[in-house]
Amino acid sequence: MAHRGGGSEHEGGGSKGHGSDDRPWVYFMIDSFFLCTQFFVVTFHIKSDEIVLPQKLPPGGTAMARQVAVDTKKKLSVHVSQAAGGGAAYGFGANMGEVGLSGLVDKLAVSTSAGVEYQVRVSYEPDVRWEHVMAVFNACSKLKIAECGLIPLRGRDAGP
Amino acid sequence: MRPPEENRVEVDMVPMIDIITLLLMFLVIVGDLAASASTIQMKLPRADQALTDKELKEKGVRLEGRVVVQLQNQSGVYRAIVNNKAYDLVGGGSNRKLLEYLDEQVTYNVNKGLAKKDSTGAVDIPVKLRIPEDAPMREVERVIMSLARVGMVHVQYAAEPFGKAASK
Repeated sequence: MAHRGGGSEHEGGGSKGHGSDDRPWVYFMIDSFFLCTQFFVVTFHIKSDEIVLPQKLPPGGTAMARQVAVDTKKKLSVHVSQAAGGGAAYGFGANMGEVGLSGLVDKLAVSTSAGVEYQVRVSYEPDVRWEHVMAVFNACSKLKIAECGLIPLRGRDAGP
Repeated sequence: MRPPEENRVEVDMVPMIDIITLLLMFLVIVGDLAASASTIQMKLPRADQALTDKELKEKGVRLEGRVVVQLQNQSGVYRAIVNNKAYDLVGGGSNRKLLEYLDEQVTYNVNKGLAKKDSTGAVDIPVKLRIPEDAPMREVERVIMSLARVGMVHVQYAAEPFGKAASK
C-alpha cells in the first residue's frame, strides 16, 4: 500500500495551509493510482468463450430412444478402435478398412460428394477416448453431415 | 478581541478510498470464484468446427434454459455433475436419481411452457455436455443414454478451438 502520511501531513503542517502545501494531494493520488492498478490487475481475465459442437443424436440410435426410425437417408458406419500409442484407428464402411483421422475425413468427403444425404453412425470400443469420437463429429460438421450419432455398446462391453 | 478559532473538520479520504477499494476487490474476487465453481476445470477435446454461443444464436440454435451436464473423474470413478450435484453412472444410463432429476427438469420446463415435448418424447431443451477428452466412451455413453431416456436429445458437445491450451 502506498504511503499513508497524507492525512498527517495535512494535520501536522500547521504553518502550511491546504493551499500553501507544495504537494497537497500527492499521497492521495499515489494511493488511488496504485489501488486502481491493483484492482484492474487482479480482476482482469482474458475472456474466452467456450465453444460447442451441436450435433443430433441419430433417430433410434440409442437403445432407449422412443423415436421410430423411419428415414431414407443412407447410412455410413464408422468404427473407432484403440490404436497403439494412445491413438485411434477408424474403420469405415462395410469392409471396415482401418484408416487414420485424415483418411476418414477423405473417405467421408468422397462418399458425400455425390450430394446424397447421409447419416453417420459411430460405433466404438469401450475404452476409446472421447476426443477420438469427437473428431468424427467434427469431421461430420466440416462436411455438413447433419446427422451423426452413436451406436451404443452392447452386452458386456456396456458394463454394469 | 480575537475572533473565535474556526473549527475545521477535515475528512481524510485516503483510508476511506483504500478500504472501499479493498472491499470491492474482495467482492469481485470472491464473486468470480463462486461463478467458476460451477464450471469444472477439464481438458476438452478440440474441434475446429465448434461455434461460440453467439454464433450458435445467429444460426438459430436455442440456448435458453440450457442444462449443463459435466463428466468428472472423481478418484478413478466417473460421475455426472448436474447443477453442482454428483451422480453415479451405471450401464444403460439407468441411474434412478439422475433420471429423476432430469425428468423433473423436463416436467418443470414443459409445464411452464418453456419447452415442448414432441410425439416421440423428445424435448427441445438444449443440453451442453462437458466431457474431458480422455474420458472413456463407456462412461460417455452412460451420460448420453441418461439424457436420451428423458428425451433430451438436443445435445451440444463442449470443445476447445484448435491452438488453445487447457480450458475451464
